[in-house]
Amino acid sequence: MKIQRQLKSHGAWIGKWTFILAATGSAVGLGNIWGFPYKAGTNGGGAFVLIYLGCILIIGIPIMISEIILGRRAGNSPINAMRCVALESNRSASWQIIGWSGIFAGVLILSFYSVIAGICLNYIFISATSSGVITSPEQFTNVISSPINLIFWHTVFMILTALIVSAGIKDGIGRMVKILMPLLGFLMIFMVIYSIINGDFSRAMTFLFAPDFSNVTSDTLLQAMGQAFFSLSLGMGSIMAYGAYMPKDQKVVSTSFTVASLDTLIAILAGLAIFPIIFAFNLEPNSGPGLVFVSMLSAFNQMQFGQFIGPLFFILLSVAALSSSISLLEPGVAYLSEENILSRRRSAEIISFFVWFLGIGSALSFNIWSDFSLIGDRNFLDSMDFIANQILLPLGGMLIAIFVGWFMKKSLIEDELGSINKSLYFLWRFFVKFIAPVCVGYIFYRQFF
Amino acid sequence: MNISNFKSTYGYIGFLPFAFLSIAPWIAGSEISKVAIVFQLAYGSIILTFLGGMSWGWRDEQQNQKFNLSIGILYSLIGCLILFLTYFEIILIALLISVVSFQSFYYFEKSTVDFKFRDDDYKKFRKMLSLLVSISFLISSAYWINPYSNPLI
Repeated sequence: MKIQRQLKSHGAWIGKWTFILAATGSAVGLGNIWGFPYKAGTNGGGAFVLIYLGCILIIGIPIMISEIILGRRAGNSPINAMRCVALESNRSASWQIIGWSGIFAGVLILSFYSVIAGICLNYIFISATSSGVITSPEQFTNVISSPINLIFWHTVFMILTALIVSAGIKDGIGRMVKILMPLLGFLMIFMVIYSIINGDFSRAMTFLFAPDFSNVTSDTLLQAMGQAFFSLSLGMGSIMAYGAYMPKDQKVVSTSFTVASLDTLIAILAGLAIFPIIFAFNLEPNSGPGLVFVSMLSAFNQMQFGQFIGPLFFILLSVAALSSSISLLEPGVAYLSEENILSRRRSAEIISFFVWFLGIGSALSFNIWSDFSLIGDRNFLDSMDFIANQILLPLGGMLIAIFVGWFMKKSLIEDELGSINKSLYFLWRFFVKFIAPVCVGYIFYRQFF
Repeated sequence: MNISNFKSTYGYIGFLPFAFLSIAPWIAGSEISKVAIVFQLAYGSIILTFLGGMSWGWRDEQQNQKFNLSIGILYSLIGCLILFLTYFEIILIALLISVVSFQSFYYFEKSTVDFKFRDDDYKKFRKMLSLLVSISFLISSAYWINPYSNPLI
């Protein structure tokens, strides 16, 4: 067959937990930590959590299983994986467009993600030395109004990401996730214990979990579907790229359930770490960066041992960001190196440089380019976010579900899934064929209308 | 279902009240919280007394069985002490004693000669169950310490 070109091998994860840790690291990111708890709290608490879990089951896990199947079947980067599996299924090689779209989305996301992660790194030092003389909103304004400062920390973060990815699967990503993920877990548990003892934990529990079905609207469903899809790093090729290194004897279905469960658990723990502190200091649980960079810093300034707890919190955020950023860079690096275009190290350097360069635009969007509009009335950062998160990711996720559900050869799927319960298999096929594409298509449609 | 699975099923069912009574105060708050914690302590003291009594059923020919019996009685008495402290509303001390007692009873049982010959499933179950029960008491201790939730403040 035409596909049998010699592609460079990348090796495999050592041990079954490495894939789980890497995929969880990819899924758990900044948006997950500050996005999920806020959405849960303002959309009906426990009612939202229940709907979200349902969406994870019918959208998130089916697409995640599909991505892993595609990646592991071919053992290549998303572009070559899609081409190989499409040709093996006697379909057009044009399906590789999904891989290209994922890599492109990953590069765009990483370009602004790195700037925000750089702010987290900066805040480790700010929270350790903050005396409370400058208020936290002023502090945040000082940070984002300095282009040099933003670009410096963006550079530091990109260097860290490039160093890990360039070291390869076994010595780089594999080794780092085994350090970063337990560290993330330890820091998260420490923060939760601190919040249980010192924060207004009861109010946070009520905010997050007390079900209020009167707050549930069609918009809640859309938010839950979006959260379930975006929080698992789907549609950007990361899971497909990681799946390529998954050992053949590892069970795809149970692994996907474990990753989705860990992702949800960490998001809930993040809520239990953040909101008791926010409520204890009578701060508003407003969403997004304001919550962590303004409200949390304000709380750290007021609390006892704030100069110790604050840096730990921002280390936690930085670790979560780093474990996600390496998964955004990996698909592109894997493609260039397996095609023998460049060595792995050189690929990581070149793509990182390109991402870094693009990221300068996002860094400047906070200050001197804040009035510059690129797409509609969106500034540079928002435009990158618009192209990647609102167009490419839902499109990629929808096409993956359509390809695996309707066009991939059944024997290949069964071969990858191994021996699984028949009813579970039919349920997954049903979700991936009908439910997931429609739901992701609906998310895509609602982004515009 | 073999006997180990049977024991672990009953064990985990027995854990459910601990889980429920340690989480309920955080969600329900108010007066219910104190009642839940008192019930948790009372239930815990009964279980601890039962665990202490288990040593009477261990093999008499086992090495150090006389010592084991004495330690078992000590745990039963600690169970009574927890009940006593709860009655006099010395709740935090009762909670902390419960945390230490459940965890240390596991280490005591693990140190016996016969435990080494138990099957792996039972060993894992005992370890996990002791840990979960201790965590449930820790969660309740945190509720009692927390200035925003302590029902006495």
